[in-house]
Formats: sequence, structure tokens, C-alpha cells
Amino acid sequence: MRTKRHCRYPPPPSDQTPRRIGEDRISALPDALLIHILSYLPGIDAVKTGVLSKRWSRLWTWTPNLVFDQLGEWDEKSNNFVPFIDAFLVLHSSPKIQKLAIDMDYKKRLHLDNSMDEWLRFASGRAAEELNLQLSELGYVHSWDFRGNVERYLLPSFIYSNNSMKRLDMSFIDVQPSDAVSWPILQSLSIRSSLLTESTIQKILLGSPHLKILELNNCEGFDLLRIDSKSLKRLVIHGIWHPSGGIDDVLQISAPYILSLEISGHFYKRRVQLLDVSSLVDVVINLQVWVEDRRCVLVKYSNILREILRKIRHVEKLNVGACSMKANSDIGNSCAPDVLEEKKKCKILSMMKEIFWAFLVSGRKNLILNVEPTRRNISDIACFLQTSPKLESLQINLASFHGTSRKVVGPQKTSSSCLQLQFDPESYATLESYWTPKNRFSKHMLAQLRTVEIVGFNKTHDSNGIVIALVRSLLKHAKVLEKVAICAPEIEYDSDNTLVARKFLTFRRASRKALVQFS
Amino acid sequence: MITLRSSDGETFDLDEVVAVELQTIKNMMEDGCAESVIPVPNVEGKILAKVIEYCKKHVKSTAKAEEHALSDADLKAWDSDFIKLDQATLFDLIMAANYLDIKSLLDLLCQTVANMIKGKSPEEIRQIFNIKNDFTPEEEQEIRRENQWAFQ
Repeated sequence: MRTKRHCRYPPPPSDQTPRRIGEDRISALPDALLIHILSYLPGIDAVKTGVLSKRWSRLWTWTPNLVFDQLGEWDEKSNNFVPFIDAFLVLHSSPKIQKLAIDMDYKKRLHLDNSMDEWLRFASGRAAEELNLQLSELGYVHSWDFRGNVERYLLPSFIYSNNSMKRLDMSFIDVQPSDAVSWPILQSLSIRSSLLTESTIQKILLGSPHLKILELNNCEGFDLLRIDSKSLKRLVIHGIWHPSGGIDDVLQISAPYILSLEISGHFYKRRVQLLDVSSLVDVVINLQVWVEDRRCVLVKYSNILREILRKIRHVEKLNVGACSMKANSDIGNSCAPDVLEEKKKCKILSMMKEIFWAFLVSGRKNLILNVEPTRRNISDIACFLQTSPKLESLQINLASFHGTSRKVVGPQKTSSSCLQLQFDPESYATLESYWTPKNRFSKHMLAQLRTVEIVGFNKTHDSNGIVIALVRSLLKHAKVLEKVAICAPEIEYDSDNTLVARKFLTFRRASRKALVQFS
Repeated sequence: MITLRSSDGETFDLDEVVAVELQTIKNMMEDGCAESVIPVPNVEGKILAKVIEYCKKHVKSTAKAEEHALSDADLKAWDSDFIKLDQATLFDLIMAANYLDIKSLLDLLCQTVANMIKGKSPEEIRQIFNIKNDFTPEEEQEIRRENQWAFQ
């Protein structure tokens, strides 16, 4: 006996034909479209559609994407995850799959390793184009949980010869090919938390003639990363695995053909040194510092950063992360304040800054700084501008370091009383000193700057005065400036906005075309 | 300028740069069988209007379009507003995007439907989409037993 179906969504507008009410539109779609919809679902959801109706009973077995996430619906105590995947793969119908993705905790056990080998064999046999194996060490949450060399899953040898794979993502897996690697159509490779020897890396590069992107996250085991491959366009190195290593520990990178480089994350005591990176076009630097012994580490850090900046002077587009900017500004404060007098300290500070920035004049055209302008780092911002005479576009992302929310507190109306529209005179003076004629770089500074973008502006935040000082100073000196865009995503449109906008309109500008835009 | 005519006689004028977003139309243009007015017999006027609205927003940036091109974040925000649709329109759009071969729109719509299925029990999914359970009680029991491993 059929029960009456209730209409669960609001009644359609009256111009719709009555037959559409309560109709099962989804089952009317052709198989291919239903399977396409199912391809966006993780395995656990896809399989449930098998009991919806006869129409649906076998559709899920044709999904091209097999995605299994242990954190999804399995609690830690359940051991159903592995049998689930086994059963799913057994029932799967399609001779070709697009992707196999598994995200699970791992602890070395024979039967688990055997299951994983079988899953990979399945993926290879079905010509999977994308393989994503994210294993996490069971119980490992923070870097200080590191317990020494824990056994990882060893990637089986048949995987090193694969003609269908275009994308391979692995985490916490032992990559130790004993013979040659053959990944003829692999385009993107990402390896995390692995020990990789230089010879393994060379085997991989040799066997992947079309590799475009290589990402190494928290990997170790190599001191020289030499990439002679002409196909590789993008290299990402994110941190190293463990805070070990001595004073002379250096990671050297030689990649004369890559176009895009990202160096980020924690390198602890390891120094990063760039050798040949002559083709680079865009770079992201976001090195983090280990703060065990602040003073000497920061000075060493500044040397590392300086050397990197020197090697990438030719790079057109530079993005400096919040951590790198902050650490660089902190350098000046690494002198022991209790030993030196104020005056001497200031002199040493400015000398250190001068030494840092000497000979760093670059050819960059685009600069992105992730930084919250403060009185301490405003001179660094100015120095970046000073060493970028060809700069055409500047973007400042106002990062919030200390977790303080940048939301406007309180109702919008009363916030106008604490609207900070005054620029900070001290910062303004600092900036202006960089633009004075007697400063030898000032002639070319800002000469080509066309667009400035400030993202994350909040009208009641402390750093506003400094941001406004910066904008004012740029408007005053940039002769070909066309647009200053200020993105204030949390401000709703109200009268305060016109107040702020009007304030900017009062600033003197060197370029007649300059336009200040709020969004 | 290309003109499309819907199944109910409405006509829509498109710049060529927008028209090529619809792969089916693009193929017709390249094969030289695109006449002055291209009929789109499977798609109603109000659905075709929405399809064109999407394509205009997503047109690949040419030198001219770059000035008005939205950032990725803005485009995503626009997309999430665009998909706030009743089911009938949603499925009409899926059929239209499939027929006109607009990959990004089809992917967006299918992802939207997938999000409606994700995390729900079969009973809930049936209710949302009005899917009739046509298993006999015996068949249903058999299915449940077979698929026990899938439900824990």
C-alpha cells in the first residue's frame, strides 16, 4: 500500500504546470548525469543511494571517484573502515576510474598493508588518473609528538610503473623505488612526511618527463634538490620534518627551469639556499622561525632571507608571507636591550637594516606583502618598495597575527565615534624619509607604480592609522598611480564609508589619474 | 552576435565571446551550420535566460573583459547565490547545461545536488527528491541484508 507523499518544499509559483508538484525529477535524469552527481560524493554517501529505489540500485557502482575519508563517518574505535573499502571495491563495476582517495590513520600491520596493496592494485588495474593516499601516523598530532623513525607504509613496487597516473598525492609513505620509475604522464606530484634520498628524487624526475608540479611537504633526507627537468614549472617546499640538524645544515635548491617557487613553513635550524633559479617568474616566501634562542637565530634567519631575496632579484612577482615579514622586522630587536644604550642601539639597528637591504635592488613588478603595518615594520615595507624600482602593482594583505578578530565590535551606528581616520604621523614621517631627494634610491622609487590594493582594511583596527599613512604617502609620490583599491569586506555600506572615502580624497596626489576605490 | 531561440519562442542575443561558452553552439559555429537564429528546442525561455546569465558572468577573460572580470572569490560568491533555486529549475538547468555542453555550469549544478545528498540517510534522500521506494518489502529486506556492510 502506497502512502501519500507530502510536498516537502514550498509550493511552486502558479505559472508552473501542476504536474511538477511532488515529481521525482532526479530519477528522470539519464544514467550518465546521475553517475556524474554521484562522482561528487564520498564512498560512504554514494553507496547509500543503492537502496533508494530500483533505478538507483546499481548506479553507485559506476562512480568514477572513489573517496574514503576515515574522519568522515567512522569513529576511532570502529574497525569497519578497511572492510568497507574492500567491499566497495569488490562491487565496483566500471573498468575505468578517475580517482582513488584514501584518508586514514596508519599503524603498521601486515593485514592493513596487504589491504592497501590490493587497493592500489585495483586503482592501477582500473587506470586511475589520480591517486591520493593521505596517511597519518596514529597518535601524531603535533611536531613534538615525533617519536623517531616510525614505520610507514611502503609503496609497493608495481606503483612505480604506471601509465595512467596524472596526479599522485602521498602522505606518510615510504617512497623507495628499487628500480627505475616510469610515470610517463604524471603531471603533479605531492609528497608529505617522507624520507626521500637524492637518488630517489632523481629517479622520480627522470621517470616523469611531463611532471609540471612538485610539492615536498615536511620531507627530509636530501641536502641538494637539483631539478634539471625542463617540464617542471612549479616547485613547493614546505618545511622540513623534524627540528634536528646542526649548524651547517643546508638545503640547496638548483632548478634553472622552474617558473614558480614557494618556500614556506618551518625549517628549524636548516638553512635554505638557492643556487640556480634563473627562470623564476613568481615566488612565495613564507619561512617560519624556530624561536628557541631568539637572538642568534633571528640574525641567522635574516641572512637566509637576505640571500634568498638576492637570488630572486630578477623575479617579476614576489609574495612575502606574514611570518617572513614579521621575523625580518624582529631582527632589529634582537640586540640585547639591557646591554646597549638607546642611541647606540638605534645606530646598530639602522646599520643592520642598511646592510640587509644593500644590493637587493630588484626587477620585480608585482609585490604582495602579507603584513600588518606597524611602526616597527613600516620601514621594512618602505625598503621593499625602495628595492623595487620597477614595481607596477603592490598588494598588502592585512594579516592578523595574534588571533585577534578584525570584526567590528558593537552596532554599526556607534562605531562612527571610534572611527580611526587619522593617519599615524610617526609612520608617515618614517615613510617620507624614504622618499626624500637625498635618498639615493628615491629617484626611481614608485616611478612605475600603477595599482595599489589593500585587502582586509577595518576602520576601527589599531593599525589603521599606519595604513592610512602609507596610502597617503603613496598617493603623494607615485607619479603614474592609477588606482588605490581598498577592500574592506566587513564594513557594510553606510555613511561611515563616505566619510572614509572623503578623507582619502583630501590627500594630495602626484598622479592626476589616481583613483581611490572602496569595496 | 548570435541569436538563440528557446522552445517557447523567446529569443536571446549573445556576443560571440559568450556564445562559445556553450560548447554545442561553439561546435555549430565552427562547423559552419550556425544560422542567424539558432533554435534550442529542448530548453524553455526562462531556463535559457538563466543559462545565459551564468555564461555572461563566467566568460573567459579577453583583453576587454579583464577590466570587468570578477575575482575568483567574487565569482564563487556569485555562484553560490546563483544556485539558490527550486528543484524544478535546478533539474531543468542540469538538462539544459548537459544539452548545451557547458561543463562548468553542469559541474556546479551536479555538485549542488550532491551536497543535498551528502550526509543524509536514504529515507531523508527519498523525501528531499520525492523518490518512490519501489522495492517490495521482501526485495527491500534483501537489499538491506546485502548492503549491511554499507550501513553501520
